[in-house]
Amino acid sequence: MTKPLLSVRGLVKHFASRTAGVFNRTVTHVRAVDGVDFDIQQGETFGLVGESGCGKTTTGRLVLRMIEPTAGSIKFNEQELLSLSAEEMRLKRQQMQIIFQDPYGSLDPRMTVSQIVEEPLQIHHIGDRTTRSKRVAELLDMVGLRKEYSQRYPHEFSGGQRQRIGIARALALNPRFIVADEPVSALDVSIQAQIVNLMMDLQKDLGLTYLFIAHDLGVVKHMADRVAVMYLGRIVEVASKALLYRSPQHPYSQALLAAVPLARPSQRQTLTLLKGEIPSPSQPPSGCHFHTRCPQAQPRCSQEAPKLLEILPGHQAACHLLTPMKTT
Amino acid sequence: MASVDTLATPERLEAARPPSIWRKLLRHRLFMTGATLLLLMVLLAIFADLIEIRPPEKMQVRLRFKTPDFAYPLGTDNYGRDIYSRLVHGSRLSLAIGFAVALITGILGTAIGVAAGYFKRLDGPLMRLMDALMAFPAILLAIAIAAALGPSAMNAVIALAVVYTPRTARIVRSTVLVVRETDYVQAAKACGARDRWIIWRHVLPNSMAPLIVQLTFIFAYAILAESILSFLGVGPPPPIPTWGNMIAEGKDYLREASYICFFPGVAVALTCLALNLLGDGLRDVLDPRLRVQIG
Amino acid sequence: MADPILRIDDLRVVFGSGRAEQVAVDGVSLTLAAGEVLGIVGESGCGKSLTALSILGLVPKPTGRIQGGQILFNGKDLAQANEVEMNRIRGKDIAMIFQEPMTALNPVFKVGEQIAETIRVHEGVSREVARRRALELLERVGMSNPKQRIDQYPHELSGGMRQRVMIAIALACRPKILIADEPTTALDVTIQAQILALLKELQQEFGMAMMLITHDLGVVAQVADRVAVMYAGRIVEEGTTIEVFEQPAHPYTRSLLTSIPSLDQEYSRLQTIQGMVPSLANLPSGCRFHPRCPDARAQCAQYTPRDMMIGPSHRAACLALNGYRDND
Repeated sequence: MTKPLLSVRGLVKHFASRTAGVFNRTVTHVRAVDGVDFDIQQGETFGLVGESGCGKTTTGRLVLRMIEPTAGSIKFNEQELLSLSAEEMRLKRQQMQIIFQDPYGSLDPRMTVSQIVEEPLQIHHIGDRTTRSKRVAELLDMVGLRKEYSQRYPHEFSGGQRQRIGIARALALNPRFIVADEPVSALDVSIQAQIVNLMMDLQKDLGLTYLFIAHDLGVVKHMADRVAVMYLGRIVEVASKALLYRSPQHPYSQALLAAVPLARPSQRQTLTLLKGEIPSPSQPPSGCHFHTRCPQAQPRCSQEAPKLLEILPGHQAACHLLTPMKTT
Repeated sequence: MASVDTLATPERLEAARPPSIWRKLLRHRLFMTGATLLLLMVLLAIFADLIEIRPPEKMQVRLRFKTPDFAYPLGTDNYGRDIYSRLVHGSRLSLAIGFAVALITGILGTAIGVAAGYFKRLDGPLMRLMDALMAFPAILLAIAIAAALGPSAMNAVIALAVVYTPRTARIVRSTVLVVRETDYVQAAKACGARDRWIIWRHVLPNSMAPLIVQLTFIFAYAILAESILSFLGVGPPPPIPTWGNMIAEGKDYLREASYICFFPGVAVALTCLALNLLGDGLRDVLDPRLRVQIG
Repeated sequence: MADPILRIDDLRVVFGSGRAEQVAVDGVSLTLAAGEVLGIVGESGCGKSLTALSILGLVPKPTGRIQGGQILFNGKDLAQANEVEMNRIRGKDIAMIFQEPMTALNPVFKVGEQIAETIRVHEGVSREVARRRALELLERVGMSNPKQRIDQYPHELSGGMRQRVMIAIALACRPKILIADEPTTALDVTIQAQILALLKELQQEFGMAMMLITHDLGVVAQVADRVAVMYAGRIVEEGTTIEVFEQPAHPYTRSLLTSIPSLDQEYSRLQTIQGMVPSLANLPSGCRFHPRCPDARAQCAQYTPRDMMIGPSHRAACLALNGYRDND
């Protein structure tokens, strides 16, 4: 089996926030990412889904070392990123880029489109002015924007167009790996489809690998090859798209999928609802984080955190109630 | 090449480009009023030598306390000097001081504000220092420094710059704090940009708008403050006229010859008004640009 | 069909004046029967929220105003009513819940006080009685630990809990109509399922009519009895949910339905709607949708399509249904 492009083991990020009391300062630790393992293969789209507080956005930033992990290992192309110096990491960044969720905040309002797309090339001193502007024109063409608009400012474009500019910028350095952090969540439905198709075409043409973070299960199902479900800082299930959507094993994944309202009025869903609220990441439940809302919780679940184990070939889940495959 | 459906109708923008900042400013009535007024004052200062009727320091003791008439349009002061010529000539130093204070405050305030806002470790110490300076009432601090350094235009500028820099630094810092967290700065970091690059390319341009507005007000405060300093005798000394020291010298004659103070007072008031209108206009035009667009 | 409880006739809402006037709602006509759930769907800028705000006289003044049409409720035209009359109706006969509970709730008052306030304003009861009723309401909306929560501030509650508080406030005086403007858009999917089930339950128990505004077709399909599809200020199609979803007559409705990646279907490529939603300053002539319509013909730019009845309660505004002739 080929070595994965990205390999994450034991990734942890705790944020410390100080709340000053009158006489003492209590430090609360927010365990945004609480021990996460996964691999992403070259050329695949790895979906990461979950609800608020699950840590998916933080994971995306950690993988690019935009935030420093508290612990763990991140191997990109076999190389351990956390042992790189700041300067080495700078150079490495050319291979890993990010697309943001907010089309209105992710572009500098004071720069023209061509300046925005050209900036990554300037940062790394790639080419001269002529070669760079040629590359910018090429990138704008790739994302379906007319060259004539390259001197305009972001506020003159719509949300979908701004997202295209963001994608062009992410592609400027010819990266192998892109973290797409909810790239279509802020867009209208009809525009979402355009951008999703664009991203898939680019993946095919350029051989990109995506970490696709989203909360919309429908979009993830469409784009991803494999999907991981996160809950309160941990991965609870990982499987290929087909396996996860057809037969989710973890009670949380099941509830999550069942909760999505389908556009089928003649099939009114009777939802078995999860009770309770999503716990705060600063005070996660003991043992299995999900046990407080799990319809099948056992005493063991509140005492011991389940490990992410292989249940079926290519299908991992972290739940005490599931029997792991025997590894001979 | 993007596939057919993404290019089916080539992405089209709004029919007309939204008006640029300059055009919006030109249309803003208050801004134009202020700008014109200020321009008038500046022209006065530049062409002072040509407009003045007689040398501003020339004393004609026999012609003291003349009320305004045809030969002496604004009258003469207690030394018989032509007030009109002094006023016109005094605009130079007054405006120069105001401008110098705004410039120095702008540069220093930006430097400190960016340092404090961008680098978390510098934030504490720098801001405590700024807080300490701001704890003194502005005018008192200015008077104290100017008195300690001695009366001169340069020292007045230094004193006022020290007083106004903390306020400017604060404003720049709060903008920088916001800009630092934006996605576009994160994007630059993700590309491997160094701090220097980010500050120069992203933080500074996006922090300028509130700063520019604030500086027009500081210009106005400085002119006003200079006149107060001169009034108290710690500003630029006579015989070189500034509007402030003209008021200072005329204060003893407020009853008999109030016009000695009146005209420079009006000049100060008009200039401050002009600057305030300018600043308000700038704020109206620049601020909405910074607000999030509603899609 | 039973007498409608609310009837909107040819509503026209504009922004600005003179040459800069923009028409945001252009001749919208709707009826809402007692006890039914009407869904209004559309993408951003279609005027659905504005239609709802007009009912309660909440159109942002002074730039916005109702320029024409009638909103008939209880024998009165709400478009002509003054503030005093509207204040009597707001919260009492017609209530509204919004998308962002954090901005809709006052951060400096406890949630219990905010619920009680509505009761005291409309029914003039004492503080104790109002507080008791507020507690009952919190229990009814499924709030966990209501005795504790009633004295908490909005920022101490999660998104789902705040939304429950808003629902409690809205239902405090048993209104006849509940307008819900994107009530679950800001919520996680499992919480959304809880809130939608709660709304449906309360709607049936209280016998309220509900107007549900959303861009999420899945939500509408699961909750609404009838649905109206809006585009660029006009209603393009209206009918029972089953009719509209299973036999969509308008090209926009059809495109919208096929461009959402749904959980239970496989597409290799998402269907997109080319182009983008027109801005209010640059509305196309004739049929607003024609520049993006796959079935458009020359006549579509010339004539404004009028409503055609396709079924007993199903109408759509498309020239294609009339052989591309202007119906005169």
